[in-house]
Amino acid sequence: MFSKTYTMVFVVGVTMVSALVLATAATALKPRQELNARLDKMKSILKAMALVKAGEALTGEELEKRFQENVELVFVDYRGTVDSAYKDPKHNQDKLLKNLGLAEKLPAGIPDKKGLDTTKGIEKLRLIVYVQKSRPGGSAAAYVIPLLGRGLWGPIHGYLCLDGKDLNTVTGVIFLTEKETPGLGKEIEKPKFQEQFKGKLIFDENGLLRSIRVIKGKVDPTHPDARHQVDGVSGATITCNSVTKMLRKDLFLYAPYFRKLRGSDGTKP
Amino acid sequence: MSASAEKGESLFSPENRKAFTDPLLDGNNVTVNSLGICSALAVTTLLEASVVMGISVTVVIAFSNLIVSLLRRFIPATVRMVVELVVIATMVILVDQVLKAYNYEVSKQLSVFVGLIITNCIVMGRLEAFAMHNRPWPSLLDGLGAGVGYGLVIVIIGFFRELCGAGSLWGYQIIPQAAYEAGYVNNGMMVLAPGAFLMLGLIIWLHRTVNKELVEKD
Repeated sequence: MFSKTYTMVFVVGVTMVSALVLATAATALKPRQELNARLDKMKSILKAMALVKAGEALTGEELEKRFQENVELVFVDYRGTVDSAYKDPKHNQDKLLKNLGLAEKLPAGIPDKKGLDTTKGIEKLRLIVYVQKSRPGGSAAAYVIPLLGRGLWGPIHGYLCLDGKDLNTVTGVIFLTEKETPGLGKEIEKPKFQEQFKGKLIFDENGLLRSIRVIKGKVDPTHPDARHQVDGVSGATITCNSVTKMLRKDLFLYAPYFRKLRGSDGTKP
Repeated sequence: MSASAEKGESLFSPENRKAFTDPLLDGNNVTVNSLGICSALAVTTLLEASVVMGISVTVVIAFSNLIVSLLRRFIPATVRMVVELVVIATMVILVDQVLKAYNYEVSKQLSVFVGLIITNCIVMGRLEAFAMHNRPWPSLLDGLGAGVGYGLVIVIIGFFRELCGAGSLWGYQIIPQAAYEAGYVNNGMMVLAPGAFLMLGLIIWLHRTVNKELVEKD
């Protein structure tokens, strides 16, 4: 039949052709794919700011234009101080956090007393904030921060939008998943789940960071913590817990910045 | 490598037409051969995803069939399945890359399921059953028929699952808000696998009622 040599050569040949075809396709399509990813990210941020309505179709140019006109990028360090000199077009926050071992290991519970001072290299951390430009002369209309967490089957991420005046009320949130189960974990991508976050508060009356918890079942509106809770998705407990952890971690990271803004404005609830 | 006597056969001769219609109707891979069920359940929560999946699978089967048929006399038996897998995987990754470049929204929706086409039994099934023993053009037709047969079934399932489970079609709300306020509730089961299974069962039942020959004689 076929000799062993032939078999080897054939298999190597097929593999090489396949690799060539895929490498060529991937390289040729990469610019478009990266552009799509960038536009998609801008769209999510604008959605969190309610500057893009659900189902609204925009061309790439329209999106870029709307983003440029409305959003300003600000970078802060772990103490919440703005770093206006920081310019890194390839800013990869997830990677920075991973390198510092902070991607998931932030202290559980609400760590107001503990700080990150002891984490090696923390001085170099820069966190991005998307500020919604207000009318000239006024304060910012809203602040959007990126979220990153680990769902049940894969990463989950999103954007949280805070009211520019009190830096406490959530005015919008977007959650995105990659591998969560449709109908269960993937439900967090639906407006029905995300709408719940509107009006919730992240700080309490004493200025303590409470973040927002996704609870099992329905929130009891008479409970004192109701302003910091939303209903969970039934059958998707783990994904919902991931959302809670993600919010807690990222709000903890940005809390110093929010506190600085609240302090100077004197806008405490 | 015999130059077959049918070299002069027309492109759409009865044999070739049969190669296309067989896996589409009487030999429908989903309803008759019970293949490709997993993805038939997984992506059909939305109509648009079902359509894109149907097209993607058709492209993969058709071109995998074509390539394997062209290579069929050169593939050593000892590595037959390995080579088939390389061909399938290459096609699927190509489709995935093209989707990410030209229809990003849908590729996000389909996420892992496009990659899972590699595991779709229908693809490997057609390669083994047809492409390895037939010439390229009929193989291509067989691949198209198999893909369209699969696509038809999942589009029907997707249509009803989205309509009953979400009240929308292709993302557009169909059931008016007034109905929800009057007490209408989306059928939650349709969003989950059992709903898909039921739909599939109904379609198989329908197929076998229309085509009595499919029913086994007891």
